[in-house]
Amino acid sequence: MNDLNRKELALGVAAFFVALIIIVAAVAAIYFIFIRDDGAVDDPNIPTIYPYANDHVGVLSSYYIDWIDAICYEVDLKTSCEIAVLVVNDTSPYDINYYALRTFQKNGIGKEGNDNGVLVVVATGEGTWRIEVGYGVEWILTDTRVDGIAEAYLEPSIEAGTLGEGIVETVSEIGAILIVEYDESQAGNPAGYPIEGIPLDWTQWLLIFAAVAILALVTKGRILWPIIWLLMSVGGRGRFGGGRSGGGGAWGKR
Amino acid sequence: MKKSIIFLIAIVAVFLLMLLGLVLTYNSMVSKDQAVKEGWSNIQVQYQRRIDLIPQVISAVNSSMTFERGLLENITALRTQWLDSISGSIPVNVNTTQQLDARISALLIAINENYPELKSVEVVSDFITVVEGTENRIAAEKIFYNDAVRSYNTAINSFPGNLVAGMFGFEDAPYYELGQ
Repeated sequence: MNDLNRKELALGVAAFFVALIIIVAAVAAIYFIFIRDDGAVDDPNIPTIYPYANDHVGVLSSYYIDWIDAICYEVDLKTSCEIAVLVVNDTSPYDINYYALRTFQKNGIGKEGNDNGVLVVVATGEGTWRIEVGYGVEWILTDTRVDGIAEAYLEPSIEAGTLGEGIVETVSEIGAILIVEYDESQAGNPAGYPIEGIPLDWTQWLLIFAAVAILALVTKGRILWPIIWLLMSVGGRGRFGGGRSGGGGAWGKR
Repeated sequence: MKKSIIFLIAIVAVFLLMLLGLVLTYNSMVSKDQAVKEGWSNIQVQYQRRIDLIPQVISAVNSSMTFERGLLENITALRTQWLDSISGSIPVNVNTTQQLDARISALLIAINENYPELKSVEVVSDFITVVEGTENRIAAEKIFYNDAVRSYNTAINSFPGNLVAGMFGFEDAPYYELGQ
């Protein structure tokens, strides 16, 4: 083996080690920095829901679903508060309070940092309901107020079998309160992320750009194509904004 | 490039990588430990709302509930015990909290069944509202606390976290036993 080949071999080994270190460090950084493990177990009994109306039983006609969606969309647009509706047959193996709390947590209803979400859950088979209120709107939608709304509109509709109408009225009432009284500056603690809707701070953005730049240099730009493909494939239905709740709200049984 | 230099670079790189892993693991554990403490403090905040009203409630019902004197004294003692155990260990505080829950529940049953006229006393009615209003919030905060404990305990007991936990003295956090 001549000197030139040895030199190439040594460079190859060095490059291999550098690449290995970058990959392992990147994986470690992603694991420790970006994965925000809050300890909640991913429970298959807790559903994934989408903005805004989710009927898992099939009792709401498309007329009411569209109506609920339209109200919630308007509230979201005007106040950034997110109202979600979930109709299920039952909440087994859990009681409705735990089910609603976990559904709220899993889907992050409300904007992250503002925690301005509201979740209306109705279990038709059990005749139970729960309105879970996010931390950031508890001061407007107090337990007593929410209970009053549910007793006036939701409970009678469950009893009378006119759930669509009852949910529309409940959501309208909650939405009207939020539009009139919600002041975003008073709610929660805004997260202050540099790009709205993406929960990453400047350090994390810098790390991502540095990793992409290094990989682009090493692969002579080939890595950019899979990244563009990945970004384009992340589409589909919208999701809620990452809000949290802490057991505020009301519940009942017909 | 000489073989020895390549070897040196590899050694330094591996050392740096291990150092990075150590720092990240340690920081992750500190952050999970903080989440456990925050979860516990959120439970305490909810309990504080009940605790604050106890002296007024006791003085308002003391003259009427002569037959329940033992219960009232017990609640007062547990309130003091709770305040003393705030900065103490979590298991001791959980124990006091659970005893307090049971006594408050007994007090509300006694008022409801034997002294319904007390419900019209403002501070008693406020207390009943606070107890009912915080019940679900306390349950929620206990669930979140246990989530934080699960995440923290898993991190310090699984490899390589257990090595770092051993080096820096991280210990298992206690779960809040639900339904007690």
